[in-house]
Order: sequence, then C-alpha cells, then structure tokens
Amino acid sequence: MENRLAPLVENHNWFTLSRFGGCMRFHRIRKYGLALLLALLMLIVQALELTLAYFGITEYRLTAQMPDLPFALALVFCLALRTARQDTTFLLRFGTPRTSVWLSNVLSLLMAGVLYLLLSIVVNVVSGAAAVALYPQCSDIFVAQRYQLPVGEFLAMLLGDVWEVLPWYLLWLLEYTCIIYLLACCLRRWKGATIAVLVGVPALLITLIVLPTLQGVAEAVQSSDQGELMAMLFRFLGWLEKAADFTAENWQWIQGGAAFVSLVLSYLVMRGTRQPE
Amino acid sequence: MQKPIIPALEVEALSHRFGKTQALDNLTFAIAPGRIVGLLGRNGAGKSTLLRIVSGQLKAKDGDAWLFGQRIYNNTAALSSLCMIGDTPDFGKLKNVKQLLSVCDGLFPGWDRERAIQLIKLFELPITRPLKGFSRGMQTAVMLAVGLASGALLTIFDEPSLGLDAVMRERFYDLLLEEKQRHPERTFILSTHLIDEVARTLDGAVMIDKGRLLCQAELSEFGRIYMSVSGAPEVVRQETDGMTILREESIAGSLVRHLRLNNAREGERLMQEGKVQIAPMNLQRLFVFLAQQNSTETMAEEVEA
Repeated sequence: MENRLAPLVENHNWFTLSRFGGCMRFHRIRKYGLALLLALLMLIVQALELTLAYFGITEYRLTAQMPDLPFALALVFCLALRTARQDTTFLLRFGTPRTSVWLSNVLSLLMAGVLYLLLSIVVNVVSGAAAVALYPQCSDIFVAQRYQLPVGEFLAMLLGDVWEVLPWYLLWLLEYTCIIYLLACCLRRWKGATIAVLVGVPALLITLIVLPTLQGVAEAVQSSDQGELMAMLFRFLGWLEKAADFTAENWQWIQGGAAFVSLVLSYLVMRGTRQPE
Repeated sequence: MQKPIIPALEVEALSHRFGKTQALDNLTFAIAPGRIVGLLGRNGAGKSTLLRIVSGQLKAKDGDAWLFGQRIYNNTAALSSLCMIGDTPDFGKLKNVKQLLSVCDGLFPGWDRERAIQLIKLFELPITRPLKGFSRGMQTAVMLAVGLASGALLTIFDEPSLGLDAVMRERFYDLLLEEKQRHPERTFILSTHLIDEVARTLDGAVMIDKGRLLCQAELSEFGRIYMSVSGAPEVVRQETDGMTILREESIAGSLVRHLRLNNAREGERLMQEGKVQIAPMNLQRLFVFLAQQNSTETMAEEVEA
C-alpha cells in the first residue's frame, strides 16, 4: 500500500520529525531573555553599590564572588511555572509529541539556569575587578583584605574559586531543576492537592514526631521524674543527631535520587495532563 | 493498476466521554489523502474533541485513530505529518509574527519560509508589530497563514473563519485551493459549522452530530445520492416510493421531497422520465435534515432507555 508519510519519515531525522528543534527555538525566545534581564539587573545593582561606595555614601563589601545559585534556582522556578502551563500548551496545540515537549521543557529550564549562573560569574568578576581597581583611591570605604591584591592576581584567585565550585553548582542546578519542574507539573495538574501535600507533609511529620515527644516531656514534667525526663530528652536528641548525620552523609545520594525520580515523574505527570484545558 | 493508498486519517469506533457527556460515540470514518474535507457539525457535536484526539492532545478512551497508518498519541512519526490550527489563536506569548514564523520554521518539517512571508503579506499583516495589539481577525489570519505554509501532509483548521471579515474569508478559501493545487499531496480538514461558506472548497465531507457519524462522502457523491424532488404531489409520491425521505414540504401546491436515493441509477431514471423536477440537495440543508433525524432517533433511544 502507498503511504505518503513514508518519504517524510525517511528523509528527516528524529530531531526534525519530533519538532524538538522548534521547541528549543521557542524556549530560547521565551526564556533566555529573562535570564539576561536578571543578570543585567544584578550588574546594575553591583554598579550602583560600587558608585555609592566610590562617593563615600556606603561601604562596599566584596561578598558575592560565587556563582549565584539561589537566584538561578528562583529563576528556574518562575520559568518552570510558566513552562508547565502556557509554553507546554502552546507547543502541544500544534500537535507536537509530548516526549519532545517534555524534553525541551527540562533542557530549556536547565539551560536558562546555566546561562544565568555563568552570567552571574561574569557580573561578579567584573564588579570584583572594578572594586579592586578602585581600592587604592578610596581604601577607607572598601572592606576586605582581598582588595589589596593586584587586579590580575585577584581575578586569578576568583576564577580559581569559581572553577572549583562550578561543576558542583551545575550538578545541583540540574538536580534542583528536575525537582522544580516536577513541582511545576504537579501544580499545573493538581494545584490544590500539591499545595496541600507541600504544607501537609511537614505538618504531619511535626504532628507524628515532635508532638508526641513534647507530650511525653510534659507528662514527665508533671510526674516530676527528673531522671526519666533527662533520659527522654537524650533519647530524642540522639535520634535527631542520627537522622541529621545520616542525611548529611548521604545528602548527595538523596538529592540525586530525588532528582532522578522527579525527572521520571515529571514526564508521567506532564504526559497525563489534559492540555489544553 | 493504481496502488491502494493508506488514508490520511482513519478513526475506528472512537468514543470519548467527559463526565456524563458522551462527546464521541463509536465514530468510524476514513479520509483519503490529497483531499479538502469538511468536518461538519453543530456546536457541541464533538468536532473539537475529535480534533484534539487526532492531534494527539487527548487520548481516546475507546477506539483508535491513525494518521497515515500510524497510531497518533505521542507518536513522533505520525504527528510529524500534522499541523493543527485550533479555533483559539494561541501565540505562546511570542511578541510578533517574526518570532512566530521563526518557531514554526523549527516545528514543521515541511515549512515553507518564503510562502509564509508571502501569505502574511497577502493577509496584510504587519510582521514586527506586537501580536498583542492584533484584532481577533488578524490573529486568526496569522494562524491560517501558519497552517497553509506549514507544508504538513495533514493540516487541520478548526473553525478557520472565526473573526475574519468577508474579504479575508474569501481570500483564505482562495489561498487554500491554490495551496492544494501547488501541493496535491496535502490533505486539509476544515472543521466548521458554517457549511455553506466552506462548501465551494470541499472535495468531501464528514458530518457528525452528538458524537455520531451522520454521513461521509465525496461531494460529487452527495449530489448523486441526496436529491430534492418536486412536482405534482401524486406524481412525486409515486416516483419516490421506497426511497428514504428526509423531509417533505408543500410549496405552492406542489410537493417537495428531500430524499436519499438507494443508488445513483434511481436519480438517472427520474431525470430521464422527466415526470418530476430533481435537483441535488444543498449541503447545508442536507446537514440540517440529517441532524434533525439524528435528534429524533436519539430522543427515541433516550425515551426507550
């Protein structure tokens, strides 16, 4: 039987057929501008701080030398909310396969985060170098030992620091992006239930762990049994310590595992969401 | 001998329910490639649900649908052949036509950039002005231009003329016919309730009502099977005996019977004998009669149930 689809499938690769390129182009237009804007805002703030310090109005502290991960995550969160809703709907309306929409969503969020992270390094390097260059003229208002270094040496040190932490920051950004995207997909699909879980689970933990302990302490206080009270307190502190140790020792694995599970779940949640509503 | 061709779209026993509403009810039909087909139905007939399933936005609860022989839902190969232009223009918050065309360039494997720009000019649309400031008609025109330039093997327009003025509507239908001539391999589905408006462009029609198939045929076939027969009442009754009567009307002493012939030869016979006047039935009237018949049947079923 003659199939008119056959030439199309034979002449194009998956990248073209799945519309992945178009999805990524759409995300580039929609997302990267915001990352650039945020970095520009950061640069303006830094420039303002430097100017104020230069004219002796405030002091300038060289603090933000690391890539700006918290702001990058905040940016990813804001973009994820928009991606899970409007952007996904737009792409699916044309009949785009969900797999490529999902993949482009996750990748574009990650890339927006990485772009901002790298731009934040540039902003920090530029503002740091400017501060070091200005230090000899008004040393009384710049507060840090590092200003006394020559600019070249300072930049080498700064970039060395950044180079050391950047792979870890990128890994964390990837992990948190997966988790944040799942959260955005859940908020898109089950808004009420997701908020209830986000608030309810910590509340439940407090109810199940902290409240019985406090109740036990209160009972022990009432019975005035100091020995029992102390023993109970130590038991609880010991348990907390063990839990904290376990979490600290295995945090990378917990975070990585949560990210992987989130990635898989985000696809399932997004795939099953009725879109457009 | 010509090789048989796999249908551009095929749906089989498709059913879908939203809560208590049966949106699609055991729908089965197929559309051959290289045609302009009207998906005709009243508001709430199930057209949009069907199109959402066909475009992979919704998974059918029962039955199945294929694009060029491939299952649709989340199937990259099948969906690569499709361009769906919905009834509500959605630009994904893109700023202007230029950005939209750039995105579409990556979305559709058969995208024709030059044609897109040419169509935008023909629809008299500004390419860099913010889309936010466009009127509803202009927004619709942008999406129609995207659909036409997409080069997709199957392009679906859901209510294509919403918000368009008379001039733009005619221009769209002319451009659609032109596009069909340029690319005979392309299939177009026009989903609408404005039947008379699209009739001149169609090669065939699929009529649905209350989620059910009323009828499906090529337009030429409709003209041979569905007829309006008029003349002296006695003669008309005698000549049309045994045929399926959709509607009977008395106009100025003569009887008009709108009917479905059992075969095309009956029409030829009536014409040769010349005892009555016969004329092919207007597509919109035919749809109204079939929809009314379907409503009556549905009500009878409900009463029985």
